[in-house]
Amino acid sequence: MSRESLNKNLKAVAQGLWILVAFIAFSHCKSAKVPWKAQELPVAKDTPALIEKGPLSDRIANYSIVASYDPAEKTVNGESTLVWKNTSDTIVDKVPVHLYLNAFKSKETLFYKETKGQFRSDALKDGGWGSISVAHFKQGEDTLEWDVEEYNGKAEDTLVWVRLKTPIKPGESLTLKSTFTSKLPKVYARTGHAKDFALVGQWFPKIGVLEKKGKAWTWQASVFHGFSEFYSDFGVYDVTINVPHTHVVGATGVLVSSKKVDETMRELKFLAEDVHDFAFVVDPYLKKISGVATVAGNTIDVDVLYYPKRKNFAERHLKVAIDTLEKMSELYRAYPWSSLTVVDPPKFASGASGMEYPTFITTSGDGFWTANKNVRLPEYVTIHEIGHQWFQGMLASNETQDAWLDEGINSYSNAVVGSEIHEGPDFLDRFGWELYGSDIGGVILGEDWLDPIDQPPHRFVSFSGYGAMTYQHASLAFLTLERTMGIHSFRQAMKKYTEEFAFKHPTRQDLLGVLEREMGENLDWFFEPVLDKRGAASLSVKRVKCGKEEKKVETVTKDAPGEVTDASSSESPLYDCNVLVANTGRLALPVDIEVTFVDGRKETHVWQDRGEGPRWKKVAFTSTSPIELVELDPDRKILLDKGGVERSWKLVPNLDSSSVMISRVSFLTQSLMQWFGF
Amino acid sequence: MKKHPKVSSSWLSGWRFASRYFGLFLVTGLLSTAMASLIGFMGTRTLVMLFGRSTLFDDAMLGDLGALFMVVKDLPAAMVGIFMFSVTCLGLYIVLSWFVVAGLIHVSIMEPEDRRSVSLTMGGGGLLNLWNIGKCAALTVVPWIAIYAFTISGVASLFKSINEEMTVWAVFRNPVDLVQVLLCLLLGLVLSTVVGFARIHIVRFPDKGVFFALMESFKLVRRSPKTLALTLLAPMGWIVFSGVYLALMTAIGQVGATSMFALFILRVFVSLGRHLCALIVLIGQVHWSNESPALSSK
Repeated sequence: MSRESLNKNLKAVAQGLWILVAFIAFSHCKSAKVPWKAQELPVAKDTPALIEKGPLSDRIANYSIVASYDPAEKTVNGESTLVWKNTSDTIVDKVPVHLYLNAFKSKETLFYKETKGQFRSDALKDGGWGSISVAHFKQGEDTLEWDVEEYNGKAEDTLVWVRLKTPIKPGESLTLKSTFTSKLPKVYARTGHAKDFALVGQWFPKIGVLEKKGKAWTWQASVFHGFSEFYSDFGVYDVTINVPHTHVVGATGVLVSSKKVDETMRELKFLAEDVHDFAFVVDPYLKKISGVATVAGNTIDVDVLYYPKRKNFAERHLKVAIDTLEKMSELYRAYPWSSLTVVDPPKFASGASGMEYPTFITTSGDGFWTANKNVRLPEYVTIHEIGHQWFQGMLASNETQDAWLDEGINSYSNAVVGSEIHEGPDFLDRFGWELYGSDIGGVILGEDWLDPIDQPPHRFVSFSGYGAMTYQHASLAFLTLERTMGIHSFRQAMKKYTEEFAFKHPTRQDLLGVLEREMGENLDWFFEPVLDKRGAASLSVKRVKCGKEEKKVETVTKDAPGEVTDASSSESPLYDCNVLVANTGRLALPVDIEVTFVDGRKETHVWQDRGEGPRWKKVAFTSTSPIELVELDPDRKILLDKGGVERSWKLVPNLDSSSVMISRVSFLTQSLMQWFGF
Repeated sequence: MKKHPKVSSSWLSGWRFASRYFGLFLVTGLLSTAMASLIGFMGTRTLVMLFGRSTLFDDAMLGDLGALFMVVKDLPAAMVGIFMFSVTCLGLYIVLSWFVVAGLIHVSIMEPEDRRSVSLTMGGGGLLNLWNIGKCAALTVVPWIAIYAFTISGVASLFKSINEEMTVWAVFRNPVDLVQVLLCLLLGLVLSTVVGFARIHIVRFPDKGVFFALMESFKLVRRSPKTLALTLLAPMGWIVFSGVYLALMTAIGQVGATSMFALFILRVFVSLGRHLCALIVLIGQVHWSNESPALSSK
């Protein structure tokens, strides 16, 4: 190559590089940080917090908080006044108070150790720590002292015990004031900040729940474990937040007043009634779209707060939010609050996604690959989080002990609601592929399947084990029970449960009590193996035999399938067939055995298995033609089943299915051959 | 001094070769179809034996992803077995393709006239140079692995950016990943071109050694960057024809004897199309190395 041509080539390369650099610079200019702008002062709503006549709960723990958010420091300074009612028959001289944010203050915390600093796809790293420091607790004018909870011999200040100067007698109320500073962590485990976005959750000192266990009243309060969620009493939250005028705020409850404090700050006051928690989101770039859901003749304001350029997704979230509110209200109990705020966090704050607070949720699922409306991940997440308004928001079970009571039942209700509001699968319906959310449960059935459903989250072998059992396995169990017992009657029973235990703290016994009463049957045969013994069915067709009645020639068996030969001279011979099926799983339940004969005739037998007899069932048939197909549970009632491909047996393999497979495999392998070979 | 040939004239020589030796083009082109069909048939037979009597398998093949996951999960060992069988067949095909490439180069150099001579030239060239072309592949396997690994990691990062920023323009906001992918693609093209010319060198000068052939080929590519454009036709053809298949596959449908037959015919044409592009590049490279002044050993 001559020097001249070399120079020419180099020049061309340099030009190409310049174009690339210019393009990249241009792209970055477009994505440079947009300066904060003053936001319009939000208008307070004149609607009450509740659309039903309250109070709906005992309103035991009532908070009045004045807080100020500092976007530079990512801190919230607050003063809280808790009015707590002693509804027990015991005198209270100390109260447990949760300081959840201390879970994120170092690598030494229990939460960090149990999660190994990794929660979903987020890692808690140096420089991203969060904490809450309480300047003082006061009872009247008395400053109180507190003790830090010990867990396994080590101090864990996610829970402290505040010693009261004046014990609280039954029927009396405690007024506990505290001044605190909450430093938000880099977004992690669904709280914290990322860039200018902040989800402020579990940010104030929060009292435990005094409950009667047996004959004694005991405090239900726990140090913050990895994967664990929360438990608290219902009450009224009156929260005033001071924020810069450049920031948008979305929060639990309704905005009841808004005013300018000065040129740069504003004060927003939120009121929420009959809720057990309060969270808010703050960010200078959030946009809002709104809609209205109609429940029992009342309207509910639904707001979606979203990041710019995501309006399409915001509209999807809004539509499904309205549909879900209406459908869940119809299925279980009317949504009682006048508002719902759905926050669609930016991708860089994905750790804030997928969390539920009363009247306030964060969702997720937005992305280039989910932009098509038939990829329903965004809707799936929104349905799930809104479902928690019932199974956690209203039926506030103890999530630190019985997470399945809200996550499991809620996942079940998601499947129900998803199938009611979508015209196809609730998860994916694209390129000829279909996927239901409940199928995902079936797929992961067996992954880290080492623990029973009914145990505290932190006792599970792993996060995936916790998820598989608490969400998926429990959801499949309820879907199975619903389909086995009858959809209508089961849903009526669940409706009763929801109505009876809304704004209470239902337990396993409460749920089972209502279901058994409404279904008119003791359900121990189902719940004991499912909840306590990792139980699932394992259905299989073990053997299929057909022989001519006259000659008893075995013509077809499952293990050695052969041709059906006409061994007799009779023109219409009778076949003597029998089918052996088994359920080798820990869960015994009624199974439909459907047999289709070659002449098209079908017979269905129900194996009333309740685990008392043998684990197999033999059914005999006499027919004019041999068996073509045996299907166990053809209507897919039993989703909690590990049987898989053995649930059915066909005389002749379906060649169409094989052809589809051969076509795909051939194209793939040929493409690889021609890419890597010649 | 001889000038470098044009890319278009090299492609044209490849086209002429395919026309002149049409039978050879067809036979070599259909090899991959035959082998892929064999893998597909064997794999499917195995699956039919394992799952064919299950309705779950039918559901899986009809697009029920949940059923598909269950089928795959139920017999992981069988799935691994089918995968390993496919990989083995793929490996065998790659070795076979060394034979085919060497034979085709030999035919293009010797230009035999009658069918018998073509067969002898093809077979002889293939057999004689199989070992050296295999050595050439072995010498380049490490850079190939590195290129693929970096390409995949870069593409994964870009896909993540596209998903998060919800626009394909996101690739330009991640210059490191973009440059990594572009660089890998360029290196892949360079390596592919170098290997292509090295194979020709090996067939032409079998006694000079594989390493020498690679070095000479590298020099040629360095001095004539247009050879990269010449080579580009093969991957582009692969991508275009694959896209055509995927687009038509949806239109034709996948269930029923008629659809299956139509898809098979389409696969044959797509395979021949991709093969034609690869052949044009191969013979074009032979033409280039004939006409080019770059090879010092000429």
